[in-house]
Amino acid sequence: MSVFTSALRTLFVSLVLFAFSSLAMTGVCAAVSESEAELRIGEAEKAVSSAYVAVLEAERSGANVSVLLIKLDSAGRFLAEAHMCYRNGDFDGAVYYADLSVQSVGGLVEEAEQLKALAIDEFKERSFQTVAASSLAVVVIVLGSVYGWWFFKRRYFEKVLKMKPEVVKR
Amino acid sequence: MNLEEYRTVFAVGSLILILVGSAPTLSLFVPFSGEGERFSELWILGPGHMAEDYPFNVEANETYRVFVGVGNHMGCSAYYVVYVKFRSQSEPLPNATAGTPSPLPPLCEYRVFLEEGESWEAPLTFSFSGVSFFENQSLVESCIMNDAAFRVDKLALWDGENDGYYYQVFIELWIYDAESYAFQFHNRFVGIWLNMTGV
Repeated sequence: MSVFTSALRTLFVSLVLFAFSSLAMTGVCAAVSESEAELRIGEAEKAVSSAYVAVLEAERSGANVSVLLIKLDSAGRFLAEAHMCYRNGDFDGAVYYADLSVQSVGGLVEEAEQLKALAIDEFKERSFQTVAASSLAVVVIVLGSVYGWWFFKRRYFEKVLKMKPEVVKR
Repeated sequence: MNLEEYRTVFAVGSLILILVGSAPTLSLFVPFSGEGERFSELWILGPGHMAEDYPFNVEANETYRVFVGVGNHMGCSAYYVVYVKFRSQSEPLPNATAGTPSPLPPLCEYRVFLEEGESWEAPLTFSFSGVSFFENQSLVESCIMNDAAFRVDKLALWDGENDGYYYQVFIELWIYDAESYAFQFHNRFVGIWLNMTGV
């Protein structure tokens, strides 16, 4: 009987200890420290800024970046929320929004680089067409001018040669 | 007109036509259009989206609403941060001459990405709680901006000239500089005066 009681007591103590340790672990896992939140916000800042720089470069290459800016805008909104949560001491919220912000710009740098490459290709093609058309126009103008001058000169001499000398009375 | 003069007219005419014909190619290498002035706009509008009816005489636990806006004329897309700050009359504003921001911490912020020529506007709601008056001072303990509460503990002295306890909600515009990879104060700020009248 005493063995049974002792076993029950041991089981009870173990259960209580397990319950307490579980609660303690949950506390450790759920709560985010200030430094952790700061770190995650910093990472989100870097991700959003890098995405913006990539989008800006694509835009400078002539790409239409309107769609990318919409994505950046939502990332910016999450980042602002993260900062406000952090200032208010809500570090869980800060990390949540910082992570959302990072997710929003996921793949954006690659998209911007693709758009940039596409814009550069289009620019090259457009430049080639422009230079070709322009060169053709210049050649036509030069040849036309030379031919026009030659034709004009011939008509001019014909006209001069047909002229009859007149005697001027004194 | 003799032949020499005709030749000059012909040469000048041909040269003008050649320039017109080569203009598209030249435009690829020489920027013809002027860049113009680059600037950003920052504004606060009243509750009716107009520059009127701004909240002025305020009291505790009443919610006030204004609109904050930014316009981009920087020649390319821009990344802005608008910081919303709250100060009592004696605390420092940004220094426009030195181009430095106010040292006060922001309570609330907006992060905005705008294309060239685009503008953005968002509501800003605010209210105050924990307002108390004693002797010739008023104390605002807490400020609620866009539903987030911030402890501010701002003390304002009685302004005998203007008859009131004056505070200011003001916004600062910061812009991301892609060269230095950092935000810089854009030397734009605007604010509204508030006279704390009751608890």
